[in-house]
Amino acid sequence: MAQQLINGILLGGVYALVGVGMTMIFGIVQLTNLAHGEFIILAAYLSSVISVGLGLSPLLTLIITVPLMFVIGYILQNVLINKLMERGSEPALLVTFGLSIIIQNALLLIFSADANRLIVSFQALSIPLGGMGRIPVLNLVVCLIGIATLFVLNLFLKKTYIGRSIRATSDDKVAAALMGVNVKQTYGIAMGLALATAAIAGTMVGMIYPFYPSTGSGYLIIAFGVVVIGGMGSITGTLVAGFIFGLAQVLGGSNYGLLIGYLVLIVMLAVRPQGLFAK
Amino acid sequence: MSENILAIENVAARYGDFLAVQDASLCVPNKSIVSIIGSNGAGKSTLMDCVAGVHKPSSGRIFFKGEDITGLPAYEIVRRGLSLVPQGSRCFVRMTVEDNLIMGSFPGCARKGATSMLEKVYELFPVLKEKRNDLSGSLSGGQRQMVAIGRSLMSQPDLILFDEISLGLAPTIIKDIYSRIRQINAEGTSIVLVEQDVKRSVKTSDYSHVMLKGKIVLSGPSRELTEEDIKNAYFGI
Amino acid sequence: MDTLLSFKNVDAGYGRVKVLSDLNFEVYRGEVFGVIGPNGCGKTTMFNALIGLIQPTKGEIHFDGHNITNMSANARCNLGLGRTYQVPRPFENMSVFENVLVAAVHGAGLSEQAARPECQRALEITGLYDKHAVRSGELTLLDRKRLEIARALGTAPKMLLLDEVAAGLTEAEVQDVMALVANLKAEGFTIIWIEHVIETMVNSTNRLMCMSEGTDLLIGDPREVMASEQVEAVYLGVEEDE
Repeated sequence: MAQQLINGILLGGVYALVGVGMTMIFGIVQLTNLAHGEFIILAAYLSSVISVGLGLSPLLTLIITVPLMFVIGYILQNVLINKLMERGSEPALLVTFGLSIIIQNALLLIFSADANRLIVSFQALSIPLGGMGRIPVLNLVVCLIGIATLFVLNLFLKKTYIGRSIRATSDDKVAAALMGVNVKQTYGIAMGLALATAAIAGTMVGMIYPFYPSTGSGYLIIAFGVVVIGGMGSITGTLVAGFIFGLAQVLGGSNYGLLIGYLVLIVMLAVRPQGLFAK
Repeated sequence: MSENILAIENVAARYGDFLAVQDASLCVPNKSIVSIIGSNGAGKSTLMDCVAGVHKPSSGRIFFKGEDITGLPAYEIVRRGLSLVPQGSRCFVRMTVEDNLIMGSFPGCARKGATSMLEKVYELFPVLKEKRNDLSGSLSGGQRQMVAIGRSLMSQPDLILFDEISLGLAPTIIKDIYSRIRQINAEGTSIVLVEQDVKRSVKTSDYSHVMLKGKIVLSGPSRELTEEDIKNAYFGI
Repeated sequence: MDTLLSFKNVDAGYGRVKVLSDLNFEVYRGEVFGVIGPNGCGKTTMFNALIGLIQPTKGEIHFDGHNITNMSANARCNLGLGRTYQVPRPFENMSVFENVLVAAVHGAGLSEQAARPECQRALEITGLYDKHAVRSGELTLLDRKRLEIARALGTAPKMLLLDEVAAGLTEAEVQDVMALVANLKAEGFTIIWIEHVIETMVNSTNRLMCMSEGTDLLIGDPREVMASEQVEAVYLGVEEDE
């Protein structure tokens, strides 16, 4: 039981990271990015290729994948999604669905359907906790990186001009434009940031679980859950939602994990549809 | 710089085929206060939205500091020194008062002096300093208008457009806000007041324009316009 | 005078916000009754209370001998209250005629057979008959407003509620709307008309009500209402000493 609690909590940090990019795009661009799960897996594969190719630790590949995914997000939003959104939200939604299929099949074509995994040197280490079980070092590192990412992102949104302009745009885009904010460009930056978090999430989940070209949809569902439980635009909410989801899944084990996660989700939607931390 | 900070020439604006502004022309002399009055639906707000770049005019020209700004995006126009305080304040309700104000200094040229400007805004509206860490969504209507005005000042504009600043506010608060507006003007900022509260805005302004059904139907120096003229133009009878 | 509609001491609002307070007025059969007032005075709320979108918290509304205070919007429509929307919303992919037909069949509860002559008449009165086969999405704003009125006529109303039908139109088009209203009056319809354009209201209504802060400030001859100091104060503000 104690071991499961530890595992669940450690998983929560990663789940929050999986969900935060989705939450941002939902709250700021008002778009449901159905390709978010695939972007996470794409990042995991990128990390794998770079790690093997350059002989780097998967953690160090973040130096390359994070900026790369940011640029992909920024360009994607500016070249494609912004134009589609002028015609309403449905075309953009469909295009993200299309993107998810394209990414998935491209990965299948290049990497085949075999399982892949990111290997780190401290894979098997763990810290004993007396009789309370053990803390796996890998999961601890992954969880801390997740929390740290959310913390830095929160700081960025709160303390910088660009961060404030992102929050202002999500509050009232006309008023934001009147303050000198180029709203479309801000959407681009938001999408870039969302994919940058997806890059980190991809490497993290790739280190703790095996992944295939088709694993993305599973992470999309987790991201959805985090959005619903945490409410939009609240980093604290995202973190707590990640923990709730992580715990629910671990306590349910491999048989009931997803089921319990979704029961929590349904109860949330019925009782507090705006999310736990929405203002 | 030309004598008029703003010149609106034959502007028309539509929403689809809904004609909101038919043919509006007016000038704002540098460092003056100009009021635009008219009943609800006369097209005043749409005209202001056109000037600030929120809405694209279907015809006509708008010049600011001698430059043609017709059809430029809103974020470009505010960078040139023209700021709109929109109707209903439109504060960023999930941001604190101070973050709202800092957002006002978003244009690159305004960031340098932001700290001293913030102090000035707090001097102008001391209540905002008290509530600097509160979410603007928790403020009263009058306080939100103060945030909106302060936010606009933070961009260090040469011209501020106030769209229905007194709408829904108690008379004492309106009086207070108007005295602040005169203060802002006295420090060299040109002002346009769009109002339904006719008497107060005419009294405050140097020039007045009455709008009716999308057109300017009466213009002149405020002290020369008689109450009768204004009333007839306002009601169109 | 034969009273068709009366509001008696009506209070109404949304949730805890009270918008109408002690509103009293009567509309006589066969007249054009204009309603004006500055922004936020409660005109639209009065409309909503009249058609049954909100229920009064106090007072009574009577229409054509019935107490309709707590009646549903549908029941009111069946009694003969026909409304138009400020922003016309026709079914864009249907023809003009079909739009009116749908209103007649669903609003007045007529069979399609019985509704056809009614619809034809509605289109004739509103001057849209020549365009009966046009797809309504292709109509100009003025014609969409005509269609809005024709749809209301299709429900066989005793009273027509016009909400800002002159808004957004050019000078010449406003003249057309005024002629249309005169035509409706000649056909025997009673009309309540909300409009911001005072000139239009003074020239085309029999009586005018100026609302202020949710109540009836003044009701009477349009020119007398507009000449009153009370109404001027509501619109232009009051002189105050510094």
